[in-house]
Amino acid sequence: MKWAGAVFIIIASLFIGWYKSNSYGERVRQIRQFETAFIMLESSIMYGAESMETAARSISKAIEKPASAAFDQFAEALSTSEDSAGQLWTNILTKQASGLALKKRDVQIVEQAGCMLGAVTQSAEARKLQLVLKQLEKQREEAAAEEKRLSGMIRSVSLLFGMMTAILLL
Amino acid sequence: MPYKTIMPYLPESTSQAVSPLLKSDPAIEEIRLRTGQKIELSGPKPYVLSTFFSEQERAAFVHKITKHSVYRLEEQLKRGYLTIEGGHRIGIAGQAVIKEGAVASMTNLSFFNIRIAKEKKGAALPLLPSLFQNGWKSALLIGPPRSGKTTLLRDIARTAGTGDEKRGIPPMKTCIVDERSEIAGCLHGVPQLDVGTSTDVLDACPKSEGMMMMIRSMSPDVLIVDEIGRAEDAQALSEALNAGIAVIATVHAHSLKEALRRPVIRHIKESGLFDTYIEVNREHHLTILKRESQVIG
Repeated sequence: MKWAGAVFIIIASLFIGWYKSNSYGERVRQIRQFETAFIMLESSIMYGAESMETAARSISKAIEKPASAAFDQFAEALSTSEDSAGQLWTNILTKQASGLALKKRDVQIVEQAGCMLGAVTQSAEARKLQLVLKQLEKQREEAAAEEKRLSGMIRSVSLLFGMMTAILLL
Repeated sequence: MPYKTIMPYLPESTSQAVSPLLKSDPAIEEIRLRTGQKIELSGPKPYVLSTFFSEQERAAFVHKITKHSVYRLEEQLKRGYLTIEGGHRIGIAGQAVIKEGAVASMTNLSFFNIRIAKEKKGAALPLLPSLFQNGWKSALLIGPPRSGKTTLLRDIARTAGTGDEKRGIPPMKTCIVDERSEIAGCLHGVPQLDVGTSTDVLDACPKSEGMMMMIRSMSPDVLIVDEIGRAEDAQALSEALNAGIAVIATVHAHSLKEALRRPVIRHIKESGLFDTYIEVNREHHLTILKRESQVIG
């Protein structure tokens, strides 16, 4: 029974460590998703001449969750609401932020993309999205470095912590 | 009910205020919305409503008519109007954005004039004996704004494109160069108004360029174009008319005499490009003048 408990503690510690280290990778993945989405949005604005709603719908189909869900909700809100696109984007991100692996600063940058969205000229939209993309790239590089530095260490520490706890309790 | 497609664009309180009047008076031609001012409806009988068009409603209206996508309407905003479902045209005014001395766009949109597109099938019937004699004749329709020139032009296009068996008019290849999206009221390239079954439409294209494109690519028998007046229009018209295409066009003026004050129109008249000149007044009264007419002032 004691051995079973010890194995359980080690597995639980490993799982927590795996979960925590994965969240670093997940942050990189999600930043990349938003980068892809904004590149697609920029193309739609510059060359596709599509409405914001159509562009958001296409993006939601082309990228993975959770960014796809944000764009899907955005498209839906654009078709029904009388609020500005920027306001709608902020509302959606506020609701989704807790479910994202992004840090506060990442969310702020993604939110910035919505500022004046659909309310300015083509060139102004492109300039703003380019700026957002540059900031996201910086955040992604930082997140990737963090993942490289910490994820392996966290997994090792969690294994050691689990084994130590198990030994103490035996 | 041609105004039905306008309603989803209007804020709810505005829609509730104008809807009963539009229903009871089909002659209403325009809905005028000015931020902070009372809503007005104009037509033969004008109406000033007690409902105000608020700042909040303005913002909601702009989001709806631009579909949250101002970036794809830059050209229309520059020209001061945009077209919505049903072929209705919304004239807009606000703050012009100037770049290198020219209007680049418009911002702070605050004044709107919704012109209700109306189809009057059969409106061109009185003109058919002059316009069709073993083939379509070239004609210039002359009239002031709101005289129904575009409505007539649309019906001529419909008759030319679909034909009229009763009157022995066969369907012919008809092309419309619809620079302001008023004739066919195209939305995403598809005409919202009946312009005939054998009719091709080049939407939102500058007239002179559009006429040349249509001549080269669509080999029309009849070419329909609205509001000519620039020097390059005359050149394209001459190209079309000398290629044996019947061109039916419109021009803004109260009479042929007034139109001829514009050098381009005078040149067109002197070149004998059109067979017929038709004056249309605000009461929709038509005066048909032949090429040899001595109305020249």
